[in-house]
Parts: sequence; C-alpha cells; structure tokens
Amino acid sequence: MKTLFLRHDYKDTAAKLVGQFPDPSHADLILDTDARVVAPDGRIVAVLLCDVIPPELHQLAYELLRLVTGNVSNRISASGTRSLTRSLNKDGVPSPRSGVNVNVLKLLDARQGILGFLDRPCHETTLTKDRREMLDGNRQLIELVDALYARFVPDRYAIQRREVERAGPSWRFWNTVFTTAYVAKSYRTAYHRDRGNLLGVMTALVPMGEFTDGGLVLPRYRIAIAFKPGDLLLFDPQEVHGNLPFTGKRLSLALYCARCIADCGK
Amino acid sequence: MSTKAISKLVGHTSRRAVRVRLHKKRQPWAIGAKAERLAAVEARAFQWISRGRAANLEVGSALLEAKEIVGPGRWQPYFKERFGSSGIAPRTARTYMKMAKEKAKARTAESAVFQMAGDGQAVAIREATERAHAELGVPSDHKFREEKVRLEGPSIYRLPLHMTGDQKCACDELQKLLEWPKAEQRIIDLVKQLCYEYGLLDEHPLDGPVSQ
Repeated sequence: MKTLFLRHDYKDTAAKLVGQFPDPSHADLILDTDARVVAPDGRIVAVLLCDVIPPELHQLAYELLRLVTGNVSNRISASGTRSLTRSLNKDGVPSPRSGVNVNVLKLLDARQGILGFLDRPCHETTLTKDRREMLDGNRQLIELVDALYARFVPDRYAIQRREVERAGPSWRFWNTVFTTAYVAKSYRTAYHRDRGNLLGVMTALVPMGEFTDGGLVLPRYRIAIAFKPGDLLLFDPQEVHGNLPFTGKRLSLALYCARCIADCGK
Repeated sequence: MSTKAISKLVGHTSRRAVRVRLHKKRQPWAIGAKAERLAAVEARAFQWISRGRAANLEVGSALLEAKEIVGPGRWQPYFKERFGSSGIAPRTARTYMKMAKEKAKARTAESAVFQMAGDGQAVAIREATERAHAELGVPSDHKFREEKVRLEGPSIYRLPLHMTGDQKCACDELQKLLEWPKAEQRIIDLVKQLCYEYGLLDEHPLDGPVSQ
C-alpha cells in the first residue's frame, strides 16, 4: 500500500465551504488505488482499501439497506441548502418546523436511515427495532470492516475499542467497535462535517450499488477519493467532506462510534 | 577608516570584499549578558516591526481605495494636499500600496482555488433554496420557537417554592391526606388572590364560583 504525504493544507478555506457542493476542480489529486493519506501534520486522514469487500456481501447489503425511507430534512449543510421553513400548509401558513425545504428535498430525492444505537439520549433507533434484518443480515460485512479497520489503522481502532468497552456489549454491534450505522441512499452530499461521531477516530464508509463518479472530496487537502462498490474507505469524519455528482444507484453505509456512547454504559 | 581608504591600502581587493571583512571584524555585536539583553531588545523590535507591517498594510489598502476614488492623473496633487503633512513620503505610500495590492492578490488567489460547483444538481438546489427563501420571506438563520400551549382544562403546574427539608416532607404528607383536594383548592385560591393583588387577574377570585 502506498502512503501519500500531503503538502498543502487549506484548513480555513475548507471550513468556509460547508454547505456548498463539491466540484471536480476542488481536487488536484484523485485517489483510486490502495493508499494511506497522511496530512502535513502527520495525522492519517484517510485509508482507501480497494476490492476488499466480497461482491456477495455488498450486494446483499444493498438489497437489505435500499429500503430506507427516512427523508433528509434534518441535514441542512449536507443537503447544500439553508435552514428554511420546511413547507406551507394549505392555508399558506408556514410550518413551525425549520430544516430542508420540501422543494429542495424533491430535487435531492435522497433517503436515509440510522441503524444501531444513538447516545443523546441513549437508545436503539426505531429503524433497528422495526427492521432488525437490516442489521443482522449485514453482520458478516460489519465484522469484516471491523477487522480491516483494526489491521490498517490500529492506533485509532484501539481508541475506539476502549470507548465501546466502556459502554458495554449491549451498546455496540456484536464484538465490533461500531455502535451506529448511517445509511444514505442516492444522497449526493454537499460539504459537511459529521456530528455525533467519536472524536479522533475513523468512520468506515462502504459504497454499494451501481454507479459511476461520485468521489468523496476532502477540500482541506484538495484530494478526491474515487471509490466503487467493493472498496472500503476509512476516513476522519471531522474533516470537511462532500460528494461529487454521480450517476446510477448508490447507497453508502457509514459505520461509526457515537460520541457519548460510553455514558450509556453507566 | 573608510572603505575607499582601505581598498587603496589593500590594492586590488574589491570594495565589497573589504566591506565583508569589516563586517566580520565587527562580530559579535555583544557578548555575555549584553548579548542576552540585545537578543531581548531585538525580539521586542521585531514584534513591533510585525505589528507595524499590519498597520502599513491597512494604510496601503486605504490609500489604494482613495486613489481609485480620486481618479487617474489627480492622485499626486491629492496626496500632497491631504497626506503631505502627515509624515508619509510619497515613496513610502507607494511601498505600502504595493504591499496591500500583493496581499489582496494572494487572498483572491486562495479563494479562487474553490469555485462554486456548476453541475445541474448543485445549481438546481442553490436556485430552489433562494426561491424558497424569497417566497417564505424568513431569514435563513431564523429559528422557529414553538409557543407554549396551555391546555384548556386543569393540569399540573409546579410552583418553584424554596422550602426547607421539613417543610417539603410536611407538604408530601399533606398530599397524601384525604383532605388534599380541599387544601389544593385553597392554595389555588391563594395564588389567584395574589395574582389579583399584583394586577395580573382582572376578576377578583371571590367574585367567581366559590370553592368548597
């Protein structure tokens, strides 16, 4: 595996891009082979592992997870919009709820779902209770991702392991370091940072479906990661990131550890 | 001794070489405790120089703007009239303006690194956001706060009363008594009475239906 040492850091400019859509011109380098990306300050920012998920696993995951139905009305920055009144009622009175406006939601045509456990307050998500098979059917995949994470980014894995051990076995997926799985269907995200993830560790991103393009851009370092079904991307979700446009059917499974999950074990 | 005199003495040696030798001869500038003091003084001086640079950039930026407003061909007489007595020589002003121009150029270059995405979806979402914003007429950062809805019928209201432990225990016991409904009504009447006294209720509590 090659290691890519980044030289430039556009930290301030990247922070200002939150809520904007990525453009191919935002990346000077496109990564599409096995690589470890190291920031100028020495931190590992991303690890791309190509063709490490067997087709039968990611195809099964696609079939199980494509049934997520939640809309993305709570994801303002990731939808590339602003906080607006969600809709008007039949009398023309604005809804008291703000978020992604319905007209923007129609254009996005994206769906999402959260499986597993959330920490504030500590609970198992409704989707997990209603569609247990979405999680159980993907056990092999999640355990494989866990093993790859442990092998390729052992120091971060150890931090995450300590945290989930503090929470206890009832607040994680089997014996892995993941507590939560975020499923995004046909969702091309604008630049955003993930909130609610444990700091200082990685998120594991598993792309699925049949799609072309749609790389993940890290504007801070001007790199794009071009992944495809069967690849695994481990990256720091606190870095501003977003997706380039894609064509076809795409589903992303993001496995992570909820930030305050250790409190749930108390 | 001047460099010219020295070069005469040493014959063919160039003036630059002599200057270098003289420079070397003067080293070090200070030794021991003096060297430490000199280092501290230099650090202080450099600190002020860096602060001065920021100020110079601001001066340069203001002068550039003024030059643009005044228009071509009138800058020099304008500068002489308005800033001539301020102690900034025209040459110094030119240096500051050049510094400001370079700084602005660098800033533009960094922001130009990230152009707005021009693909169909990005443009459509940007436009839909702007349309929704215009139609709904609310600021984008507006946060709706739901108003408190009071139920029509009676429901529990907790008074923030500061009481001692004994008083709280007695209150707990009071709520367990069969007479609690009557006691509760008396508390409500007292609260109503107080609200009337403080002008928060128009109707006197005794004018309404009398509780038993």
